[in-house]
Amino acid sequence: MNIKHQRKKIMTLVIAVSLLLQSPVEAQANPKDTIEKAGSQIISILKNKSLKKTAKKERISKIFYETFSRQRMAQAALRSNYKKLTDLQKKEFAKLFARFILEFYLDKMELYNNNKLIIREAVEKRKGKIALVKTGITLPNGNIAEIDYSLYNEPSVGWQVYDFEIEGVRMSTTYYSQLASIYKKGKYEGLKKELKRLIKLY
Amino acid sequence: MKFISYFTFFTLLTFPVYSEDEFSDLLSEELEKEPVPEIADPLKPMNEVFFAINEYGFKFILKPVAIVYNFVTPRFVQRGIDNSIYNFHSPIPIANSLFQANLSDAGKETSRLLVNSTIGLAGFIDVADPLLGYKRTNRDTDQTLGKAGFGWGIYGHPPLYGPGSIREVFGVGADTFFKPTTYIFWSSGVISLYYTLGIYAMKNFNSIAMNLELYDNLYRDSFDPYDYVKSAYIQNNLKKTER
Repeated sequence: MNIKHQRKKIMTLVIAVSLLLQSPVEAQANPKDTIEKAGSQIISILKNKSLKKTAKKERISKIFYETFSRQRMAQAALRSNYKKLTDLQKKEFAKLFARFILEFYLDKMELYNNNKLIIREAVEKRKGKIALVKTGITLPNGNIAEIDYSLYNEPSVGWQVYDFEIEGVRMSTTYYSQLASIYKKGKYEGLKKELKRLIKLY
Repeated sequence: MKFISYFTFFTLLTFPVYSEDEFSDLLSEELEKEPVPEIADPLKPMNEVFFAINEYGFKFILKPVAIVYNFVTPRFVQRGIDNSIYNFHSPIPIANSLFQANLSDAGKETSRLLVNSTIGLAGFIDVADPLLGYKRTNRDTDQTLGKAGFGWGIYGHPPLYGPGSIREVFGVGADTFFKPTTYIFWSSGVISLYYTLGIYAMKNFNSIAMNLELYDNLYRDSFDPYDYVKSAYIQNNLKKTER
């Protein structure tokens, strides 16, 4: 087999894998079902004692990327600064920021590893384009931790999470001012450097 | 190596990018409805020094002590201590529920006090929650002042206290008048301040020990820990005032 042919094969494989990884997820019927399905799957993974930590992380990551929108989370956290980035920077930032949020999420999930998900309320707003799903997680001491999810009805994809609030503290609001300040000082390279630094700490 | 470069390139290339405009408009409308809260922070340079002192105090004193405390104190005892202190300070939520004209919560907190003080072994066990379905309301004077329309004033981060505002200083001061310790120890001729501060320190230390992982993660959860704590304080406080 000549080198040219082999290279062509590798390229085809890379494109195929990349497309497979990025293929749109199954359209979600409604926001409540999206959260209920993802939440119950995550809880059953966390409760599964036969699974190792890395296997749990892998499975939860898959659900996370199907349920949470990388681009919308990035837009919500950066707001006006998002428009100042180039297309490639937007994509790269969205990937890094989603990875950071995933690590943040996994870290907190492990604290609540024996819980039950309660859907408190699901409201669609802005002519069915945005929704708020209010959930609660019962903690081992009986208290309920409130976690609310904001979802966007992505055309041709379905409902995906773009923001969430844990016990009154909203992800986008909390990170907005920090990211704005980093962008002001170090522009996009500053954002990238800081995100990579934090991801390494998990 | 080349394979990884190709893979990264194509992954980025095929990463779906959806229309920004509609979502941006919706996001702006949502944010206008819920604007990013701001608090005046003219003492920021001093607050940042205090913040650093508190962080060092946490890392080198509080955290090691809390680890030992968690090791020797069973979780049910920690929860019991937390329940007892809340029960002992019940006049605070009862009075503030009345100030906020929330008779329902005043009634619930009074019922909680009666049930937990008796069946709940002097407040050690929170039996009112599972038995009556009455959860803690956590109503206090800072919340009453916020509901009455008083602003935060300025932000502060004093040593050994953490995030707070001028309004909270008045709130905590007023709450002292509803604490039984203030009157019990005054009447017996002992300086009540020590007891009030002692109980306050115990309550907060116990709470930190119970949630040690959350405090410990501050530096990896945030790009700027000072800003992160301030933002979380503002959002929590707003949520409390809205209740």
